[in-house]
Amino acid sequence: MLFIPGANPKQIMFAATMGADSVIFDLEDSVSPLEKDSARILVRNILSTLDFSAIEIIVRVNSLNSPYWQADLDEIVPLKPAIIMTPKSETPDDIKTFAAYIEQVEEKHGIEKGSVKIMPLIETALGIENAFLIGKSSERVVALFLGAEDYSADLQCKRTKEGNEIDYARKRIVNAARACGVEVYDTPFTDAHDDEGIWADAAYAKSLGFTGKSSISPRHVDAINISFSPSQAEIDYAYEVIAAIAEGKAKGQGVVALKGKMIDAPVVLRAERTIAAAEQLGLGRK
Amino acid sequence: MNKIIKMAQVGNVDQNADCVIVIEPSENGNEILLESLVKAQYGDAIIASAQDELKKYDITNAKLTITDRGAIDCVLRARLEAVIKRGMGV
Amino acid sequence: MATKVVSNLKEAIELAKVTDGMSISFHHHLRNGDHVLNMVMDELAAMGVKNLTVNASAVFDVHAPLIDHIKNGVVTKLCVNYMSKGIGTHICKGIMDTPVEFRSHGQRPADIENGRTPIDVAFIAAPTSDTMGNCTGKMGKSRFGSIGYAMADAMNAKTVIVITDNLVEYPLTCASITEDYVDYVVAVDEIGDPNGIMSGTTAQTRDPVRLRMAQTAVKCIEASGLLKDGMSFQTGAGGATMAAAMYLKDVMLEKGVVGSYIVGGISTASVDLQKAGCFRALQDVQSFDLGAAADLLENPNHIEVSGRRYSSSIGKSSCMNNLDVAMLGATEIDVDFNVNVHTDSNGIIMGGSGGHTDIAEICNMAVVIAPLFRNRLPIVLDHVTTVSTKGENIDVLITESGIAVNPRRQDLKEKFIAAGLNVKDIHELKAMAEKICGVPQPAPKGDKIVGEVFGHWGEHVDYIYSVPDKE
Repeated sequence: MLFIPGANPKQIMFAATMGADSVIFDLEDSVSPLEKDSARILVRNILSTLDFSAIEIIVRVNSLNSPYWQADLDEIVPLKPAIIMTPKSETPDDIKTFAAYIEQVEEKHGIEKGSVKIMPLIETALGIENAFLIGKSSERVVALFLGAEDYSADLQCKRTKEGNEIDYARKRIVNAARACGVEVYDTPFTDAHDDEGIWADAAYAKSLGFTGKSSISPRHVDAINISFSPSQAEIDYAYEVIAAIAEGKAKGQGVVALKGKMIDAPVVLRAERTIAAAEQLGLGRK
Repeated sequence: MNKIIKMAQVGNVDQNADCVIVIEPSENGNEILLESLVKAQYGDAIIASAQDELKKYDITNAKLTITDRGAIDCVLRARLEAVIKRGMGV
Repeated sequence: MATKVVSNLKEAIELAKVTDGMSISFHHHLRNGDHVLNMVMDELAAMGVKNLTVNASAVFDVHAPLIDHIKNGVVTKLCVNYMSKGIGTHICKGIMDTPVEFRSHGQRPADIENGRTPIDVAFIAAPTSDTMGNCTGKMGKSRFGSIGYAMADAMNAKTVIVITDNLVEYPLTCASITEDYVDYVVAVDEIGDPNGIMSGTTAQTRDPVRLRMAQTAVKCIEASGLLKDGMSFQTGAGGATMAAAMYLKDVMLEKGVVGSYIVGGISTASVDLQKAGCFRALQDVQSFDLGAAADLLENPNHIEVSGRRYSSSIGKSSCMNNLDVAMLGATEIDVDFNVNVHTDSNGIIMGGSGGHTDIAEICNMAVVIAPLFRNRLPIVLDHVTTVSTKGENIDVLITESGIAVNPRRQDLKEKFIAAGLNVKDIHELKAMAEKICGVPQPAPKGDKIVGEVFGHWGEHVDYIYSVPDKE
């Protein structure tokens, strides 16, 4: 997931070619208050004219406490972006407010109700505590997203490259998202110019259970993609698991073991997910 | 008929692939001044888009000064729409 | 002790007996910081010399006074390998009766040597020289590194004048051009402005589109099968091509591949690759920055090569003969893969082939890196404004939106597809750009020939035409 500032024509135009699966077009923090009007028109025009079919389109609108969020949704929802990212999501009511307005715009433009999803950006202490409730607040919510810059400010501590200050939030948001059955994405790495640090940060996020990670730098997209892709060993093992299960079933065995280890339901589920991810990345077996 | 009531500007100065547009009220109907890196290749197309956007908003008293650094049409039109709305005081 | 030092430039010119109709030469290692060409031309103009041919390996905006010398009849013919836009704009107004001759870096020394463009007097700016004319670009306050493009001038001109701002005691032990070729030495305050010497097209890019294309380029090298021990590599000065060097380093280290050499314009990025053990040697005809210049002085595996040895067809071989992969730029490319690096889309001269033509002609895989469109102008056209390098010599075009392979290189195309790269037909790339930008109207073209482009073998490639004044 790559953040692209909504006031920069060149970056928006080339967003689909940066290698990210999803692009977050930002109307919020990267756009000055004086350019909110022009940025939303710019994003709307470019997204509706150029071919972005290769990526998942996410638009970060302005927050509920700003005077801009409704106008943002008026312009953006008719384009049928995959997801609206709602900043400063703190309570289930916040999401319900966004969802209700999105529904109005959908209706007005004859878009099937519920087609535009929501990804709450959780970036305050209260939001983290409410993460599970936020995840459950609307059928539209498909993923939770951790925003560490505002969050660490809210904690009144310094944002560091090591990220100890966001460790609780990371673990809590992953747990909440999984409890709700939605995906969960990690905050951008702090230093856009550190091409080494991103690898460790992405690997750590993956180890905690995040589905993926975002970036504000196109240079970090490959590191994130590679870090979150299943390794060849993981893919091979997943196929072995599925083959063993199929063989066990054919033989009528109740319990199946692979290399002396019992394969239980979670192992199978993990294998299926690995294969699905591998196939999506073109790494699967035909 | 809509009116341009004030001067307004939009676009990133000195950024390639963008354009800066200034709008102001005009007494002689619509006037369009164009400076562009790609005037030879796209000058006519840029003027046509500007006239089209003015027509869309039913504007007949705009003086547009476009300084284009190679904006593609959908960017140009986004800038036109934004500056027209600002000039109308919307 | 004998000395060739004369009291000033005027005296050197008088001793060299520069007269009407002669051909004089300059190198461009001081780039846009050069003072020497202007210094010499002003002196010649003051002496009333007319009808000169100026053969300079390149001219930059700093050389704008040349325009007046042309208008006043002091200069009536130019031979260059590159011309920046500030000068090109004037040339395209048709101020010269004789078209400017554009050569490649390899063909310039060949034509000087074979007598097609003989040189009467060569003026060689040298950051350090001793009193007998042993000189180098590797040290001194105006140091620029390799002096490769001046070597043909020194060896073939009837008279050679070295101009330096760092005169040292005889003998200079690390001379690049040696006393046996030099007639006179002149000491001046400043041969150049260090800021201008290292400016230009050599800064490391942060532009994400360029970085993306650079990454793709490295994937293409991997897929081509050329990424193996002994690989040789050429980079130019463009942002994307220099970024490619950076990504190449990562891949080579990861795979433990040790290449043979990097050749051409050498930058700090190239030096890093060599220091990291990715390549055994650097063959340096032009040092792009001070890091490269410093390394040339210290590093025995970083060698200075002449333009002739670099890429000329006149020698028995050149650095091109073993070249595997080259990364090149383009302002335009057409559906037949012809590349333009001479003129912009309005037809105004703003560059030149430099090594482009030589490299593409000989190397195994010549890759052009360019975005699908730049400032609304599609990169792929039906016909380029000026043919600089012929399409038959270009193998691959990399854009951020897809890779086009010359139909002559079916082998590469198959390898790229097998590697999962985003291969498209060049017509498809053209259509994609036109869908976004609209179809460009052709820019108006004048009818006077203002330039002629020659190829790697000295053959005629194309003409450059005047540009009509804007209404």
